[in-house]
Amino acid sequence: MWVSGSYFFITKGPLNTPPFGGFSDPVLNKLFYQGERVANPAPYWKKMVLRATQQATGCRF
Amino acid sequence: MLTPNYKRVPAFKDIRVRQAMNYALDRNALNKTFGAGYATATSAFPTFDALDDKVRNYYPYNRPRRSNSSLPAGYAKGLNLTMLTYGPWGSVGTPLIEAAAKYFAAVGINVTVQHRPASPTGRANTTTSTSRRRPSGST
Repeated sequence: MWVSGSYFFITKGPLNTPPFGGFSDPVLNKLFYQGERVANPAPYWKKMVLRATQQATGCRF
Repeated sequence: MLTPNYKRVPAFKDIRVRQAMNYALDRNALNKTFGAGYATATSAFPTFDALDDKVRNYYPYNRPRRSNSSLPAGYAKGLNLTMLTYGPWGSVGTPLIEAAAKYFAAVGINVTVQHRPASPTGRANTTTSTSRRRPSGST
């Protein structure tokens, strides 16, 4: 997830560029940087995936 | 994972279209066919270590009973898409995309699949196949 997050989710990630991306979400950025600083980042990664999926497809939890 | 080009296809900006595409896919059947049942159906961004049960197959297969039943109003004539596949993963490359295209065709999303394998010269060796919804009454 660290790879996915750094490429797809954070602002100006190498694959977060138009026309497939180009978004900037401060919440995702914060979760990513929090996750990469702790020993067990899984809770942060899950929050990132849930948020991205909710925004992409309108899931309700 | 499908990556929509929302600039080339503005319909992708409509969340109802994205949801219709999610409902159109029978992930379990695709898993059985292309993953020998070893994959996990999910509606989330694919990761190895962040899969949450909340989004495990959140959008179950909703086999359309009427034409365009899954596409929102405004797409009465269906939607035409071109999907590019680079096919580097054998059976889960182009064949998987072609199977997905047939599911999309069932809900009125006509898909042209372009297979563009990478080439050392940088020139795309493109082959094309098309999945379209059958006219009503045909077998």
